[in-house]
Amino acid sequence: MSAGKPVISLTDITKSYQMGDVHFPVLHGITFTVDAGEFVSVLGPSGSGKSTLMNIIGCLDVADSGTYMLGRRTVKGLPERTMARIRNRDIGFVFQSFQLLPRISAIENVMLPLIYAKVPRAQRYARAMAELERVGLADKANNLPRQLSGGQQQRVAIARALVTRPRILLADEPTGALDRATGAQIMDIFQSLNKEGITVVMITHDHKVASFASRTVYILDGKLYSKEEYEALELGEEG
Amino acid sequence: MFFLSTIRMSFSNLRANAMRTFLTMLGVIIGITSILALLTIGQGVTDSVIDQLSGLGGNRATVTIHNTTVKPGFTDEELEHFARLEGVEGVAPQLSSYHILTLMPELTNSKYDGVYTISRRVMGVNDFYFSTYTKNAGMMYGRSISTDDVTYRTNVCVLGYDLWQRLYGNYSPVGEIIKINNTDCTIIGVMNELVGIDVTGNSSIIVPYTTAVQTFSMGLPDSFDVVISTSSDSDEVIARVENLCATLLNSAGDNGYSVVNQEEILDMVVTITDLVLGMLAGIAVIALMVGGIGIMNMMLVTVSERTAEIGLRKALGARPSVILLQFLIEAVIISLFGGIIGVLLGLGASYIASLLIGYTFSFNPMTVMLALLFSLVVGVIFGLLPARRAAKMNPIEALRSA
Repeated sequence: MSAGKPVISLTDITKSYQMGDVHFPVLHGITFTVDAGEFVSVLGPSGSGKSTLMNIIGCLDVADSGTYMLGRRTVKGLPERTMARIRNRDIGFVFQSFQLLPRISAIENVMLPLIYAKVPRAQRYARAMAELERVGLADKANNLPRQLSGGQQQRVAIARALVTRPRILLADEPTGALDRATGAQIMDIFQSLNKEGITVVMITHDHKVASFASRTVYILDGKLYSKEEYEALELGEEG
Repeated sequence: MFFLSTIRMSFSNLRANAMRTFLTMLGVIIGITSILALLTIGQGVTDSVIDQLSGLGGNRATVTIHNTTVKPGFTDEELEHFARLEGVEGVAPQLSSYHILTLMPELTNSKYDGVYTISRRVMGVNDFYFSTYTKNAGMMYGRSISTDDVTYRTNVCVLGYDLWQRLYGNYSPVGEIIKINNTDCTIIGVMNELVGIDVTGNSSIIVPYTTAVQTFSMGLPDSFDVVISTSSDSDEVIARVENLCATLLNSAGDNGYSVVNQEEILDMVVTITDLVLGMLAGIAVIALMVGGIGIMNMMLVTVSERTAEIGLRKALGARPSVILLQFLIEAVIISLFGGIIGVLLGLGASYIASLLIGYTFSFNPMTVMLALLFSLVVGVIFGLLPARRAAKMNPIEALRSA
């Protein structure tokens, strides 16, 4: 995982959805690269295709055409179980709505990916506890999600995303359900994780949130733009 | 290890919807309870019927004349012929009809002060009847009918247990004289209570069958039992009995008599009970299938309710087979627990039935294993479709529904 080598490289990715007879093109030839150790944000309004892009990067979906290289592996035509393994080992997900299972405690939520990784129970507990300590929630390990604040829940979700020690942290509007101060705390965590060497890709519609990243790519109507082009287009839309 | 955490998760999911889980389980409980109760009760009753039939001593055959106008019944001499056949232990003719019994006021031990009359079944039997059929019960007071009573057509009688209680309460009637159709008969004994299938003797008054023929004009016996000694081949003995029937009843035509072997009756009983049980068990299996459909229904609801959870689990790296297993385990837990509860209830029901009907309670461990296996199979079969639906769910759409 030496810094500088590309971990995510997308070349001319297209994706469209079929809804009955209607064909919805979502991504029109996306090409970009994320190097190991980068903190990249993907900024775009809703409907821009950024969620679809995240799904493809996260191996939850596959592109219609183009090439997606995750590390040295080409993600194409892989069986579902291999995709599941990639999601388990190589990518950690953080969602806008936290997505914690409501009936199990914080630590059990964090242990979940380790169950799918077939880690023995004793190790699962120790590793999940270590991750909770890292996000400062060791004392809340046995709380149910509803006994935690939104910020705390998102920190549990981050601990869960990191517990299998993935190379990439993939976040979809991670501060969308949080107030500004709490959102800033989450961004602090992302920045310090990035300093530890984890590659972070964050999808957002919020300029301020995007600015926490070291680099921002702009997406609009399924295409990537430079900052200047994007701002011009955005202003044009608003005008 | 992995399996264990999946089972733990399934339990917690089922507990979260305890009411729904229980109601779904109820379908399986009812199905398994009825299957097990039916099979166990049926087996118990069949076993005890067979026990009682064969417990009557040796194998038996019943000889009956059909055409009574041509030949009204068997004479003593004819019965004697049957009794002397090789391999025949003895013959037991039986006559029975209702007659008026009268207790006179001078009877000291009877419960009644004045003249008391009652209509009761009078059975005419021989000494062999007592030595085989009521051997196990034995006599409560006095003696039973002897060979001499039969030979000399004595006016003696034996009271059945219920009749004795009705007439005498708890006092011995031996030596007292009772009128049957205005003929004085000396009571020589009381039988102990008969238990089992043929308990008509309990409410009857029993006299030598020769007395019944002569004194009470009950007609010649048109049927009697042949008891075959255990050391002989029953088929051969029955062939001899049939030969003798043919010789004796030649004038009555070819189909004037029938010889029914007890083994045939036993076979018939078993065939009929098996048939009835099979039909009932079939209905119970249908009930179980309905229970299975209940499981499928609940699991389909569960899967669609937990779409977001399934999406999340997939995003965290759960393979489709893992999701399949998780939902399948939930379905199997419902059906297997329903099965266990059903087995317990079914055994309880058959135990209560055994007390009410009066046979010895027993159960076949094989039946229990089979019932549990069956409920497991129901869980797998009806859980498979919802579990497959969950496993095939697209994680993006699943997550989007959150």
